[in-house]
Parts: sequence; structure tokens; C-alpha cells
Amino acid sequence: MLQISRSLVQNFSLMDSTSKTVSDQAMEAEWAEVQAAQREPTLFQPLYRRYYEAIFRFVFRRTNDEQLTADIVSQVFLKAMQKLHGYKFKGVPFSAWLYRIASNQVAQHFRDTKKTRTVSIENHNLTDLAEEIAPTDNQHLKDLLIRSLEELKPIELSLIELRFFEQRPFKEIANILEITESNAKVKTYRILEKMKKIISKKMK
Amino acid sequence: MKKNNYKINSNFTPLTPEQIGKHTDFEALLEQFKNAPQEQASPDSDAPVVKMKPTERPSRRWLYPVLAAVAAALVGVVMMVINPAQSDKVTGEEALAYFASQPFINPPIKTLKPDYNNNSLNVNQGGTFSYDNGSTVVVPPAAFVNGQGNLVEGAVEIHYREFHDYVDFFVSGIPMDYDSAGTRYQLESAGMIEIFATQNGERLTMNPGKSIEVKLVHDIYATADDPLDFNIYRLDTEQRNWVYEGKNKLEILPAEEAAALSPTEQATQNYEAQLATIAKEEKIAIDKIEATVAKPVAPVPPVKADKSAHVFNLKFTDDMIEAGNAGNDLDEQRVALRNLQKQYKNMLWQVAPNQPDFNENAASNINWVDMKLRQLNQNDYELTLIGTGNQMKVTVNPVLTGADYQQAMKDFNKSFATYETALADRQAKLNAAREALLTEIADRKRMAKMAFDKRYETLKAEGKDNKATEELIKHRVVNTFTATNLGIWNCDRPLPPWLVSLEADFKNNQEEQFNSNVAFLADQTNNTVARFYAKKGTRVQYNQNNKKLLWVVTKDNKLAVYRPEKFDDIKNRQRSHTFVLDVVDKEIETEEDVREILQF
Repeated sequence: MLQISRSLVQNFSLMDSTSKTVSDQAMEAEWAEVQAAQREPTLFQPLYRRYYEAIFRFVFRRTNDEQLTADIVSQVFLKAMQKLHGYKFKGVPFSAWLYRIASNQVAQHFRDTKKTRTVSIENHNLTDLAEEIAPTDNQHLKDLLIRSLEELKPIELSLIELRFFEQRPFKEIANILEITESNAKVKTYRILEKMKKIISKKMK
Repeated sequence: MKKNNYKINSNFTPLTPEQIGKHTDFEALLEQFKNAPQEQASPDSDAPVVKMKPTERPSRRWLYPVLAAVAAALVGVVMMVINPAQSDKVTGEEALAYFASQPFINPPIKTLKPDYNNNSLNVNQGGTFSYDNGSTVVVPPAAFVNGQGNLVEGAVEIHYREFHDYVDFFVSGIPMDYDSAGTRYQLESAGMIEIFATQNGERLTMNPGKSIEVKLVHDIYATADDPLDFNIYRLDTEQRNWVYEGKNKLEILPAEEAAALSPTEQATQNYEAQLATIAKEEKIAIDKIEATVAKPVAPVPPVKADKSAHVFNLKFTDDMIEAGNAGNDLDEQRVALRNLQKQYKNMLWQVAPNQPDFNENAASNINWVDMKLRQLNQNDYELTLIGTGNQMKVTVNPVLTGADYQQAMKDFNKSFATYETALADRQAKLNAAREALLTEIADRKRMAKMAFDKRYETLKAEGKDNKATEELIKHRVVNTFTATNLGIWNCDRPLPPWLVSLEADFKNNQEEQFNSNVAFLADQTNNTVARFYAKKGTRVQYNQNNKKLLWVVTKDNKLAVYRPEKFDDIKNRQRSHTFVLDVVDKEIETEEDVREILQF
């Protein structure tokens, strides 16, 4: 019988990485850059340079196709520039807005092409996720984990990806998905519970 | 459970930065942006601008020959946009250049001289100075050196002043903006000081290693959820900038007045006050009810003659009756006594008890020639026996005997029954009146509760049920910091950029442009004053929703103002605006004159 860990909430706080959160001062400085770019498009370049690699990696994990990723990322930044005049600083990093556009562009691409989107997992990420499900190191469990991912809804998978495969803090996840931080934690906890049930059934 | 169609890649290998870097091409993106149809949708809509079909996936490679053909023309267009030589736009650089050409501390009204607190100090001993508002400054011994770098001894003068609000900041001419790594911020202040020392008129500097401890008291207005996270900045007049010196230690003093309540708390308090008023009015009204129905007078039972007491057998005529204290007038008293004597022919007047001075012998043996009677109360009368050359006063009661007494008792019982009926009637009327009052009070309370419940729910629905609202609460705070140099020290924090930005022009009511080079703006929510280069085409920034005031100093040292209500004329998303300022025709002689004009 699979032992289910009950200390998930504590585990979440241990996993939280503050290195990816953006300070208020940095956000304020960036907002000034955004405003400058709103007035003069050529001034978008610093933002483009700053986030190109991060957005590229975000999209690449979901396509596993370098050229396709380059094209989608080009569309992401084009859209960002076109919508920039309507952007308003709301106390969240500018990157969160870019990630949302990227997420939508990826989803749109796979809807249009009716192709399957990729979920990229590195081994150490899978280990972290497995530890949340059960403390024992078990290759069989990891295989079941991968299979359980296939039964998640797209939004559920996004949360697992952002949290465990991309190691993003809850605050950043909340900003990207436009939900509250506590909501992000609760949803993640419920998804893990769901995955545990899936795995339990498969183990019987 | 339904399986979604995902391709799990568990052997994911991330790309290197170099692999990613080769795809970056901002110039191509810029060209694509300029050539693509402009997006009108909201930033968060899902509608894509360019649909990507798999067979038509664009490759940027074919764009380059096209771009090359139009590059020269586009460069020209871009340069025209960047160079405003042909337009009225005032660039940020021009504005900065103007301010850089001016004295760094530039009081706008030169006739207003700064007002310092000046105190003497024995440098060898140091000293502590306390100011009226509670601020203190502690100067250590041996704190100053002169222009030659030599330690100063003996008496020095310490000059100190504080700046607390937008008027102080404006009059001082001290800039409230700050350059941090090339980005300009407006600074919001929690109090600012200037402190310097002189000896024989010569300015001194701080002895290296010494510092002044400052406790600056300030009233700050902030929302309930404001972290009050201020820093300490020192004004470097050589670098022409504020220098960050560390975090401010801010302590909120115990509230001298009640902190402002959230809207729901205020509504609750108002409701409770309303209930208290209703309760008070209820008590007053109930007390008044007693007076609305006359209380019947209880009949006095007849008094039987006491065989051991002295009695007088007297008959009074009207002229013997004097005005008494019984509440009715003299005529009524005479009529009443006449009727009494008529009804009870054998009525006697008995000496009232507890009159040790009554001389029974004298009363009986003296030949009294006259008498007077005065009613004292319901049952007591003052009898005055008048002789030739003497008189005697004694309190007497009318008493009855035999058949008179029995008849009187019958009459009394009848009267008393009538009285009891009248009393019951009165009580019934009082009860009815009280009932009506209580019903009215209950209605009022019920209406008040309904109104309160409705108001409370409305406020809750509007999210105004906690203190984290935009309402400003006043705090008295103490900023504690160490001044390592003499000069100007500020407890500040950089403000987020103000979101409204438009091209401005400044005119008076006669459509004439002002010759003033600087416009000032104060925002009621942020304790600062912003400066703008007041030329046509300059960019003015402010917060849409806060109450604000804009003004310039005219050539003849008057103030021309743009009042808060006029900002309502500026529409959302308006790109430019001519500020028509009203010149206030008042000579400015003191800072109080400025404060009066700029009050908002």
C-alpha cells in the first residue's frame, strides 16, 4: 500500500526558492523601463534582452523543437510589444506578464496544429516530485508518476511543471497564472492528492 | 480517467545560452512590430495577432531583403521621431539639463528666508537639544572642525530646522527627486532636517568619526497596510543627488487621537451612537410623560381632636385670613375655610404637636382682641393671637369631634375613592403614552438597524470592511538616525512612478504663457512635491485618483495655481493638456502666506 506523505505544506515552504522573486525596487525600476518602451518601442530592447532566454526556455520545455520555439518566442515578444501600451504595473514582475503571453501562445499553437504538447522532465525534478508523493526512492514510482501526468488536465499539468520541473516559487506561479499565492499552493496540493490516487490505483 | 494527449519527454536536455542566444534578433522584431497591424485588444486577451499555420510558419530569412530596401527610409522616420527638433516636445534630457543649470537647492521665492532654531553649544561638552515638537538632537563633544581641519573649541552655534510637508519642501527649494542608477524617482518624505554649525559666522564641518543622533518627530498620513518602510538619505550638494545612508528606524508613538476606522467600523460606530441617542431621548421622553397627565391631589383625612391637646374654638371671617403657603391663592383659601367652617360648625383648632414654646396659660388667660390665620400647608395653619401690645403665634390644625368627624370621614372616604379612580385613570393614560413612546422608539431602532445592515453589506461588498483601504491614518512617528555629516538629511522612500503622463503647457487666464521655468505638483496622498520643467511640451506626471495641486511662481513672485477640481477636466488617456492657472493676487511675505494659498 502506498504511504502518502501528509507534510506537504511544510515541504512546500522548504522548497520555496527566493532567488527567483523580484524585489520591489527592481520592479519599480523595471516599470520605468516599461513606461519608456511604451513611449518609444526601440526602448523595449533591454526588456527583450533580459527575458529572451527565460521565455525561450519556457517555450522549449513545451515544444522540444528549437526552431518552433524560436518562432513562437518571436510571436510572444511581438505580441508583448503590440500590447505594451495597455500594460499597467500592478506590483507583480513584468516577466509574469510575458510568461502568460508565452503560455497562451504555446496553447494556441497546439490548438491550431492539433499536435501534442511536450512535457519536459529532468530526472532530478522527477525525484523532487516523487518525494512529495512518497518518501521512498522508487523507479517504479517514477514511471507511475509519469503516467499519472498524462491524466492531468492542462492547467493541472502547468502547475506541476511550473512548481516541480521549473522550480518556480509559488509567488511567481501565482503571478503567471493570475491566481493568489495561497490558491496556487492549495491547487498544487490537490493535484498531488489526485496524482497519489491515480498512482495508488495503478499499483493495485 | 480521461488521458490527455501529452508527450512526456523524460530525457529532457536544456539548451545552452549560446544556442538560445543565436535566435535573438531585436531589429527584426522591431521591424515586424512596425509592419504588423496594431493590436487594440487588452494586454491579457488570448487573441493572437498573427495566426501561425504550420505550413506557413514564417522564416525571418525572407524578410531581410525587404528590410534592406526600406531600411534607409525607416531610419529617417525613426530619427524624426527621436529628434524632436521639429516638434514642441520637451525631452527629459532638456528638463534635466535645465535643472542641472540651476542651483541645486533653489528656493523658488527668494524673499522668504529660512527660519532656523539656533542654539549655543559648548563644543567641549557637547549637548542635547529638544525642540517643541519633541524632536531631539544629541551632539557629542568635539564634534566639529573648522575650514583648516582643526578641532574647534568653545562655543558654537547649532542651526536646525525641520521640513514636514509639501509647503516646507517647496519653500526650501530642496529637490525631492532622486537618481538611482539612471532612473529618477520621486521621494516621499517622513520628515527632513537641516543642521549645521557655525563659529563666529564660519561654517564648520563634522569631525570625522563623530556623528549626531537625531530623533525626528513627524506626523505621517498612511493607509493601514502601509509598511512605513523609509530610508535615510543625505543630500550631497556636490554630487547634486541624495545619497542612500541606510534604513530608517521609525517608531510609531502611541496614538494621541483615535486612529481612523475602516468604513464598516465607522458605520458600526455611527449606528451605536445612534442607538445611544435614541436611548437618551427615550429616557427624556418617558420622564416627560409623567408631566403630561396631571397628578390628582390626594384628599387629606380629617383629624380627630386629641383630648390631651389644647384646642381653640374659633370662627374666622375672611378678613382674618392671610395669604398662606398652601399653593392656592388668598381668595381660594378664604372660600375653602368659609366652606369648612360652614360644613363643620363644631370644628376646633388644635395646637399642633412639638411646640414646646406654646404657653397654654397665656393663651387661655390673655384677653385677645384679634386673630389672624395663615395656611401653612394642607393641614397646618399659623394662628396669630393679637392682644393690646402683644401677640402669640402658634401652629394649629383643624380638628373634628363626634358627628362632624364621622361625617368628615364619610366624605373623606368618598373623596379618596374618587382620588384612587383618578389615580388609576392617570396611570392608564401614562401607560398608554409610554406604550406609544416605546413603540416609536422600537421603530426608530428597527429603522436604524435596517439602514446600518444595508450600509454594512454595501461597504463589505465594496471591500471596505477592513483597514486596508485607501483611507489615511495619522501616525505620530519618531525617526531615529545618525547624521554623520552636517547638512540636509531626509527620511524617504522612492515612490512608484505616477501613471498619468501627458504633454503640458502652462497658461494664465489671458492665454499667456508663464515665464516660470518650474511647475510644482503636490499630491495629497504622497508627502512630496514634484518639479517639472514648465515649458510647452514638457511631460507632467501624476496619479489619476489622488487629490493634487499644481502651481508656478510668477515673475512678480506670486503664485498661480491649478486647483484639484480642475484636474477632473483632464480626460482618461488624454495625451496633452494646457494647464490654465489662476494667479492669486496676494503678496507673499511669509511662509504662512504660501501655506494659505496652497492649501488643498
